[in-house]
Amino acid sequence: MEFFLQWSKTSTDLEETDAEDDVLVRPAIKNRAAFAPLYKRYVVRVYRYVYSRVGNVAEAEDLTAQVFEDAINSLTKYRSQGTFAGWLFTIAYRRCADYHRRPKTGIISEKLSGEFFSDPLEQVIHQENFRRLDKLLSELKEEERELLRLHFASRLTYRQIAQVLRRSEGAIKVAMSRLIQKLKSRWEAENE
Amino acid sequence: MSEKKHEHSLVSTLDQYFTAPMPGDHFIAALEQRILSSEENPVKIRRGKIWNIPQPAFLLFTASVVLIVAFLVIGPTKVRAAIENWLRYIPGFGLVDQESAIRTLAEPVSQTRDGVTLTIKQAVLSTSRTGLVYTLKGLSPQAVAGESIEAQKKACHAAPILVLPDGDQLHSIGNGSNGYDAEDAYQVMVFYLPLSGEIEQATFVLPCIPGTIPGRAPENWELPVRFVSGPIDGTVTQLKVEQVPTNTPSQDSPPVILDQVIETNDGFIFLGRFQPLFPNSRVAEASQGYVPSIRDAAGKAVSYRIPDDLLTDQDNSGSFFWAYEIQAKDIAWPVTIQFETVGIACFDDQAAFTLKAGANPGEGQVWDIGQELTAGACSIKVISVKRNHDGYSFLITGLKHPLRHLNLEIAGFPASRYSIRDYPSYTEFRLVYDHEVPENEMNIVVSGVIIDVSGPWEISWQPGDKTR
Repeated sequence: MEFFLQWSKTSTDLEETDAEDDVLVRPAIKNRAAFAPLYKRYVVRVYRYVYSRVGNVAEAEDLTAQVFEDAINSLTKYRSQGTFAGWLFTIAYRRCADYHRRPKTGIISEKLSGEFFSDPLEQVIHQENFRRLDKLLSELKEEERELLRLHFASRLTYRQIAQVLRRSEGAIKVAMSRLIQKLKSRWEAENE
Repeated sequence: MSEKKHEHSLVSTLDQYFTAPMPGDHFIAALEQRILSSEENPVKIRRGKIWNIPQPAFLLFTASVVLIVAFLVIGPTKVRAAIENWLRYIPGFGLVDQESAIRTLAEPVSQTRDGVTLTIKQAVLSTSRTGLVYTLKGLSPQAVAGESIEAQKKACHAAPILVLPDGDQLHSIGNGSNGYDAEDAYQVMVFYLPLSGEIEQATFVLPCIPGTIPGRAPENWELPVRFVSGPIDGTVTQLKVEQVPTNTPSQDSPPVILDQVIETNDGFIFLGRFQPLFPNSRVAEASQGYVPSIRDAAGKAVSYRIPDDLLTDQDNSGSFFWAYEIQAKDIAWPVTIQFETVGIACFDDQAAFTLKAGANPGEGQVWDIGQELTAGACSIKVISVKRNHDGYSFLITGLKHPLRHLNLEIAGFPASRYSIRDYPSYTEFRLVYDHEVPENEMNIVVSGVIIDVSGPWEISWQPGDKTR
């Protein structure tokens, strides 16, 4: 599957969203109530990203609240040279960096124990896949895991990830490509 | 299991792995009330000193248009002579449009503290970005954090800042290549947005040395730097960019176009694009499927790398821009760059169908749909829909080309989660609802369709080629 575009919006949509965000930011600077559309647009994605970092609902809620409070209190620092999403997730990234909690491993098994897979066989297969992925991810560098979180949990575009990590968009594309290839080769090796 | 299935399986698993539970409705509502009802604080946006410069892809596109017009107006010979002065490639920095627009560091600046020497070695300031090279020498191994996760958590991750004369701070937008220079000093290239020509000096501020353990290496570095305009001196390597003559890109052009070739000391860099195959579609940005093979005339694979500093942003044409560097000159020419499969995205179009599930459909109930849907150039077939205890599963397949991805939703009923599974002849999209599962008549909207189109497509080139 095209791994970048699943579930949320397409990249074309996201480019349009970036432009819309800039329009929405201006009134929000003068009037907090006008921040509502931006809040609604990003609250779930910020929460998912934060959850992927801390792995706990209560802590994820607490951190998500802090991210949005930081954002609304520092809207003046937002400049449209980047993207609003990139700016917002930079806040989330820093908040989480200050909040070193348990690592990502373990979160998935918690989620898997729920009702997501009603077919017991399917659940076993997925749990096995997640166990293998857990192992592969634990062998990655933290910056590589962060790329995956920003990509899969936050659904950010390359441009937005580049803004958060302060790297060029090209560098992110290359890094992501190499990372997926690396994971893929290890994934295949385990299958054989 | 085929390689493709491995990839799908991995990416699908990654996608599910990183899907966290949805935040609760109560939390979302309560937080919204809390942050939006706080005291208002009207403020102004400060205007920075940074130019609002078009992206590199736009510059290249504009240059191409001007080139075509120039060919028509004043003839190819004069134009060729002129364009050879237009573009230069500075390894590590990227393409620059005109030498006259480039500024560099007036002189290297160094500071030594506690045995550690930080040197601002060179800078290149173009209209598209600012690049600055700094080196570090004398760092104690005990000051450097290890590579373990725990060690990296404790390490400094600060990026150097450029403080402008009016106090504005310019944060880096990325790093270029790094490594050790000829004097065995660790060298880093860091990029910033372009600086206005009026800014002739700045202060390079490094709160702590990246990768070091706090307190074990000197911190809070501040070095003044000055910029000067004029010809680039011998410390900066410049390579000529050869434009590859091509017809005006159109929908009738071959999809793979080679735009430029740069000869390096030990090989060549090829820059080009993959044009959309169908109207209103775009070549999807992603890694898999776009990694070509490069072979010489004898069919032998030529290894290549992707030069980070030459990857441009995507433009609005829907093309996928690529850059590949080979470190080989003594090979059987010509070389051929071949793409086997590309993902074509039909993002501007969507399709829908109606599912009449009735009230209270039973778990396991299946509706045979058999409906073909077209979203622009992407056509798919919805085979069937199955009711699960917590939602619905949709079995969908590509018609003319294999389906790689699509977004699927029941209009007005956003799902709590979803999962995707590939089977040999179809893909299952499963929507899961934590609360009420929609029933009765539903409008199912399909968008963001990406199909895999197989080629191959290729392009060949050899030194001295004036045409492709």
